[in-house]
Amino acid sequence: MRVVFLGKGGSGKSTLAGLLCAELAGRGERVTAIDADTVPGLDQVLGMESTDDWSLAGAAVRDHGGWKLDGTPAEIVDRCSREAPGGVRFLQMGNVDSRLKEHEMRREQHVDRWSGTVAFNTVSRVYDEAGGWTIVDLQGGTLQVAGGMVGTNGIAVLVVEPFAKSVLTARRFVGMGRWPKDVRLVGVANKVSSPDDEAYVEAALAELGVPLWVAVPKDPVVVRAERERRPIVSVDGDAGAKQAIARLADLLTEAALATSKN
Amino acid sequence: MTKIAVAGKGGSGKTTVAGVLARLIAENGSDVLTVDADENPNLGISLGLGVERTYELVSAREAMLPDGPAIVDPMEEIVDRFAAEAGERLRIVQVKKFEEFRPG
Repeated sequence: MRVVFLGKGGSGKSTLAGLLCAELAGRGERVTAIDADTVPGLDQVLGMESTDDWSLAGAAVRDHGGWKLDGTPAEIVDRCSREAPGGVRFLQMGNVDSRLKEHEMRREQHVDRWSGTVAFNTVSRVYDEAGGWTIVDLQGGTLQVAGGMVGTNGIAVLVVEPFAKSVLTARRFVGMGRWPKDVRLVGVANKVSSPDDEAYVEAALAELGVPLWVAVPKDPVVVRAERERRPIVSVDGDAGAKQAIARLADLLTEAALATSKN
Repeated sequence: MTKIAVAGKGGSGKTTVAGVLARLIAENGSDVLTVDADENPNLGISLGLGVERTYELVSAREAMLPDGPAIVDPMEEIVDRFAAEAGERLRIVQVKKFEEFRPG
């Protein structure tokens, strides 16, 4: 099952994606995490050192005007991924700096600038079919979603903060037109610090026809971990954000079971 | 003419800072043109246009041809055509927004 995190920049996509990866891996599930953001941060949330590597660069190569993967999807994941604490496989599409270097690479190594995106789409599609979880942290905003990176099945988790700008962003996602019919769009409220906050997000989502699955409280434990550069996944099990993520994992698991039965 | 660019991580407050700055400069008596170059443009909200009007803003990207030269009209014309009033001496131009879902 592919789970794609969408939302405004800074809404907490990486934090929630990382917590979800850890939660699912802790339940013994096979989890592959892909950071597709040009301002990557999922590695730190998962307790890894950040690198500027563009891990999926060159994983897809030009072939007679089309594309082919340079290896099987499993080989590519083996070659291009790192293992995060807790057993999560981690890949990244590369930061803004490494993407600027693409142009140079393209000339020297004949790496096409779309290689990473094509590899991402192919690898994640194969994983969608193979079982296990592929958790994708997208770039803030609507660009990658408009570009089709949300995929053609799975669940899109729309992260919404209790702010007007975040709600407007949510509205753009939903208003973008026809979503693939087998992508399920669900809402998660983040940085919620009062019942009013939750009600605000819930009402905004209801207007868009998107169900609010979980409200994640603004959690001082998560804030402190981030500031102290400790992996956010290491935060205490009783923390409010973690409990909310456990609930999200339950709902996703139910949805995945329902899908596999159909 | 002075150009001010505001940059930073997503959610760090670029739009809020830009919006407040633009309003203060306009209140001081200068003409201000604000440019929202974010593909997820929210500056209208910080300028006080509200969610509805911000959502309805037309983006200047529509002045670009799908093929051929990117921009054929003079920049002043594009600004005049696409700028919306956001207050006294204050205008906003939205550069682009992605509205279409294109499964890849």
